[in-house]
Amino acid sequence: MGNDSVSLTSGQYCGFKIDGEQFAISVEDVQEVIRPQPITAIPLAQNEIRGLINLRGQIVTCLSLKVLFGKTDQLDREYMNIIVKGKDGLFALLVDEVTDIIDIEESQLEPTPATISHQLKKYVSSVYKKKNGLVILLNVKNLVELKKEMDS
Amino acid sequence: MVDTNSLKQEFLVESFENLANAAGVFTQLEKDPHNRELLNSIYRTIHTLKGSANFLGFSKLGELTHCAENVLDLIRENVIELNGDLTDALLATTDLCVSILNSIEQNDNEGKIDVQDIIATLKFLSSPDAVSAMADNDAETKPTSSSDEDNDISMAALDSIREQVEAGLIDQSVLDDLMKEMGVAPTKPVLTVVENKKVEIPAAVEAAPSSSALEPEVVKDVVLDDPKVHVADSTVRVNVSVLDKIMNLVGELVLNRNQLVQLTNKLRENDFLRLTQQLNIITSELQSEVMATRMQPVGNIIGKFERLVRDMAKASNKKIKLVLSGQETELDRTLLDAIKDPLVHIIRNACDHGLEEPADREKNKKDPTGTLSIRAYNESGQVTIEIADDGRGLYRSKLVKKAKEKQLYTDDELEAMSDNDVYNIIFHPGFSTAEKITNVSGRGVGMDVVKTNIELIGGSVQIENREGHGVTFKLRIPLTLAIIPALIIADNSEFFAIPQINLVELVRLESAEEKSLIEKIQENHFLRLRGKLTPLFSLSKLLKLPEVHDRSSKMNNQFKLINKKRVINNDAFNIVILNAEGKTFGLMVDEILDTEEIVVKALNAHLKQIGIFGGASIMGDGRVALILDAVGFISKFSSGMEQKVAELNKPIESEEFANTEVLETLLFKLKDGLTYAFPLNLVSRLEEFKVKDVEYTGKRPIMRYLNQAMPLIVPDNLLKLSSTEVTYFKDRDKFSCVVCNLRGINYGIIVDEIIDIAISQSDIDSSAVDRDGVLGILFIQDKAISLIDLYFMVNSVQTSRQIENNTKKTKAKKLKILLVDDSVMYRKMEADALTQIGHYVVTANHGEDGFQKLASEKFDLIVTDIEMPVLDGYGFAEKVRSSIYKNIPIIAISTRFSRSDIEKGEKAGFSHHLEKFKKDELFGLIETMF
Repeated sequence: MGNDSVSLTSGQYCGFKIDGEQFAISVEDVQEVIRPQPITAIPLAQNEIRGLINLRGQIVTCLSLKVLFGKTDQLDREYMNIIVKGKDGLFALLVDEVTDIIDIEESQLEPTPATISHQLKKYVSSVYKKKNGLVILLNVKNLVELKKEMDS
Repeated sequence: MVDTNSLKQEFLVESFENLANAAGVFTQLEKDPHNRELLNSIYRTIHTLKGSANFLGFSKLGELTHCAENVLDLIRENVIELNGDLTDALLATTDLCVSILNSIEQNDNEGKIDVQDIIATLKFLSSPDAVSAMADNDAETKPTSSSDEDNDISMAALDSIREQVEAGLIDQSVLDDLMKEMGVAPTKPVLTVVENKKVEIPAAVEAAPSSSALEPEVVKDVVLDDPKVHVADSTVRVNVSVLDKIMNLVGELVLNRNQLVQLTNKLRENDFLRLTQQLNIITSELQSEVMATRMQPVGNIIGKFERLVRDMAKASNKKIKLVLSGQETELDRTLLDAIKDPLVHIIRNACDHGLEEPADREKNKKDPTGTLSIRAYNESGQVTIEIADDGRGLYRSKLVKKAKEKQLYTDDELEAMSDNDVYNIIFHPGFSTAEKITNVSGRGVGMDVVKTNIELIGGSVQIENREGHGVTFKLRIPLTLAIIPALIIADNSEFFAIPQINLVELVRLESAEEKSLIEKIQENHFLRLRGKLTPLFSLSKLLKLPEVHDRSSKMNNQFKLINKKRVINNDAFNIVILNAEGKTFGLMVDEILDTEEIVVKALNAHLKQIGIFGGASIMGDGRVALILDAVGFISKFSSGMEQKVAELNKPIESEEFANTEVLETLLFKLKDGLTYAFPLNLVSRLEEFKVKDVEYTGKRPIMRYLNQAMPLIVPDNLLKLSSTEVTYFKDRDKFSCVVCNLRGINYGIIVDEIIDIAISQSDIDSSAVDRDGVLGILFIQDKAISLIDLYFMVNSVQTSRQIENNTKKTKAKKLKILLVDDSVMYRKMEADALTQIGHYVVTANHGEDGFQKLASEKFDLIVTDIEMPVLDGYGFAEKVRSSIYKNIPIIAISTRFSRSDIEKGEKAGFSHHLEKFKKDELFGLIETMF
C-alpha cells in the first residue's frame, strides 16, 4: 500500500505527465482514473486543494499536483483525475494526462537526484530511467498528506 | 464440524439479548399477570437458555434456568400466581444468568457464582406446600404434600384446585381472607391460587408427572396458540458494516441510474425509456429501504425502563406507574445508543427527586401512585421523546437558592432570569437539587451530562415545568446522524448547506427603510433585529468567493454595504439568522433556496482544519455542496465583534446601565483630523454618495435621497474649523454622509471618515466649549471628543420659511415650563430649544430645587431628568403628585428607558417618558398635550 519514502519497490506503476515531465505512482495506490468532473471549490482552503468532486456518492478531494509542485494551474485545460486512497478519504490527483502502466524492477530504480526541485523533493521516492527519459516516482502518502516545507 | 467457539459466541449474543428483554417482560407481567403472551415469551426465553446451557455444558446455568423454568411452568399452569416476591426472585435469576454469561464471555467458564441460594428461594416461593395446604383447608380435599426436590406437583392437588377453579369455587378474595384467618405468617411469602376460568390447563399436565418433561409439547402448543410471531423469529442479525456497504453501493446505483436516465432522454427509445423508468422507481425504493435498515424502534430502549422504574420504586418505597407510548417510533441505531444514558439519568431523577413518597402525594391530594410517562413521536423531521412525571416539579425558589449557594450566578443575574432560564440551571455542571444524596441519583454526575450528550448528537433538551405538578423533559433527536435537515443557500452561485438545528429565522429586507436596520460599526455590520444588534456577515466576502473578491478590491472603501452593489441596485437582502452555542448572528446570502434532507459526508483533515465546514453533501444534481458549521464559523470570524455587541446591547438589556446616564455616540473625523461625535439616537443612517450626484439649489448642495431633496451640511464650515471654506467634493469621487432625521426632514452631514460607535458614561462637560455648534466635551477612552449639536447644524441651513413654520406651529400656546436637569449642557440645550419656539422656561438643578421653584410661578408643564443629585426624577414626581401641584403634567426625559424604568416612572407619576435629544418629539408631545 502506501510506500514509504525510503523503500524502493518493484512492481507496476501508473505513469502520467505534468507539464511534459513524466511521473508515476504505484498502481496499488490507484483506485481508478476518471475524466474531469464538476468541481465544488472550497473557500479558504490551501491553493493546491482545488475542490471536491462527487465520485459515485463519495466525496473526493481534488489536489492539483501542479500547484503542489510550485507551479500555477488554471484548470481550463484538459486534465485527468487519478483517484487514490488517503488516510481519511479519497483524493483526486489532477494531472495533464495519464500515459501508461510501467513495469519496474527494483534494480532499475535510482535514488532521487539532488537536482530535483525543492518543492518536488519531498514527494519523490525514487527515479526510473526510461528509454525516452526520466520517470519520477512519487510517494502517494506524502502527496495526500500535503507534506510541505518539511526540511526548510 | 461445528466450531464450538462460534457456537458459544452465538449463544452469548442470543442469550444476552433475550435476557435483556426478559427483565422488561417480567415487570410487565407483574402488572398484568394473566397475559398469556408475555408469560409464554418469557418461558420460551428461559427454556431456550436452559437448552443451550445444557448443550454447551454450563451446568450452573442449566440448573438455575431449569429451576426458573419450573416456576414459570407452575405459573403457566395457574398453580401459583406471579407476585412481587416471585418477580423479584425471577429478576434476580435473570441477573444471575447475565453474570454467569459475562463470566463465560470473559473467562470461558461459569466462574464462582453461587446459584444455590436463588434456587432455594425459587423453590421455596413456588413450593406446593402452601398451595396444597390452602386448597385443603378450603375445599376439604386431602392435602397431598409432595415437596419433591424437582418441584413436581402433586397431580391430586392440581386436580382439586383445577376443579375448584373451574367451578368458580375459589375466589381470590375468599382465599385472601382465608389465609389471614389461617394466620399464614405475614413474614412468609404469600402464595395465592389463581382464579382463572378462561385459560384451560393443558391436558399434558395431567399426563406427565414432571413439568420439565413436557416442554416440547407445551412449547409447540404455545406457538400455535399465539397469533403473533415472536420478534426473534422474524429477524436476522446483520453486521452494521455490511449495511453501510450496501448503503454506499445503493448510492452508486442511484448515480448510475441518473446517468442512464439522462442518456435515455437523448436516445428517445420507447422500450428503453420504460425500462429505465422502472429501474428508476426500483432504485428509489431500494434506497429508502436500505436507509430504513439502520432504523430501530425506540421501544428497544424505553422498553427496558420498566425494570429500572420498578427497581427504583422498590428502593425508594414509592409507587410508580410507568406509561410508555410510541415505542414503535424509529431512530438510527447509533443515536439510539447515544440517548440511552441520558434517558436513564432523567428517569432516575424523576423517580428519585421528582415523584414524591405516597404519603406526601396523598397530602397534596394526588394519587399515591406517581405516574411517569415516556412518549416518543415523530415531529417535524425529528424524534421527540418526552419524559413526564406528575411529581413535585421544579421550584424556582429552590433552584435560585441552590444556585446562590453554589455561586453559579450573582443575585442580580438570578433576579433577572426568566423562569425558563432558572429551570435550565439544572443543566449547569455540578448542580444537583437533591436534598440528600441517595444511592440512585445525585452522585455528582448531573443533568449537564444529559444535555451535553444530547447536543452532541445534534439534539436538544427542553424543560416544561409545572410547579408542584411535575416536570416534562423534551428531548429532540434528529432521525439519523448521517441525514440532517438543512437549508440550502447560494452565494455567488456556490451552494452551501446550513443545518436546520442552527437556524433561527430568515430575514428579508426589501425597502430602504428596512435596510436601514443594518448598522455599521467600524468595519463590522450589524442588524438591529427587534432592538438587539446582531452581527452580520457576508458569506461571499468572508469566504472570499471569487466574484466578490474582484469587486471588493475595486470598491475598497468603508461604505460599501456588505454585499456588492446590492444597496445601490435596491435588491432585497436575504439574511439567515443563525444560533451557535448561544451566539446569534446573521449571514447575508444571495439566495435562500430550500430545505433538504442532506446526507453528511466527512471531509478530510486538510479541509476540517479550515474550521468552518462541517462536512459536504451531494445535491440532487450530483454537485457537491459544503455544509457550513455555524459554531466554527462564528468562532472564526467573530473576533471582537461579540464584545462589541455585548457592550451595545447592554444598555438596553441591563437594568444596571439603564439607570446611569449613558450616551451612545457616533464617532467621526472631520477634515481637521480630529474626532467628533453625534448623539447616535439622532442618526438614522450612514450613507456614501458619489460627488457627481450632488445637486445644488442656489449655492446649497443637496442630494436626492429617498425621493426627497436632502440638504447636505459641511460641519467644518459651520463650526468654523478652518479659515478657508472646506469642501468634500473635490479630490474624491465619493464622500461619507451621516443622515439625520430632525423634525421629519433628512439632513446629510458630510464627514471625512466614520470611525466607530462608542458609549460614553462620562458627564458631558460644556464648560470648555469654545464655539457654537458644540454641545460639550465627552471623554471616550480617555480622549476628549467634541459632541456636536445637530440642531445647530440643521438650524443654520434651515430656510427661513422652515423656521417660521416651526415657530408658527407652536405659537398657538405659550407655556410656562419648569425644566429640571442636573446637567448644565442638557439644561441649556433644552431650555434654548423651548424658548426658541416661544415657551417660557424656568430651570432647576435637581428635584428639590425644582420643587421649590414650583412655588414661584404657576407652571403648565414640568420636564425633568431622572438621574439627579439630592432628589431624583422619581422622588421629584412623587413629591409633586402628593402636593398641591399634583395636576401639572410631568414629562420625564432620559437617555434610555427600560421597561422597568417606565413602570417605575408611571408609578411615581410621570405623564410621559421621552428620550433625551429628541427635541422634535418633545415639541410634538407638548403640542398634543396642550
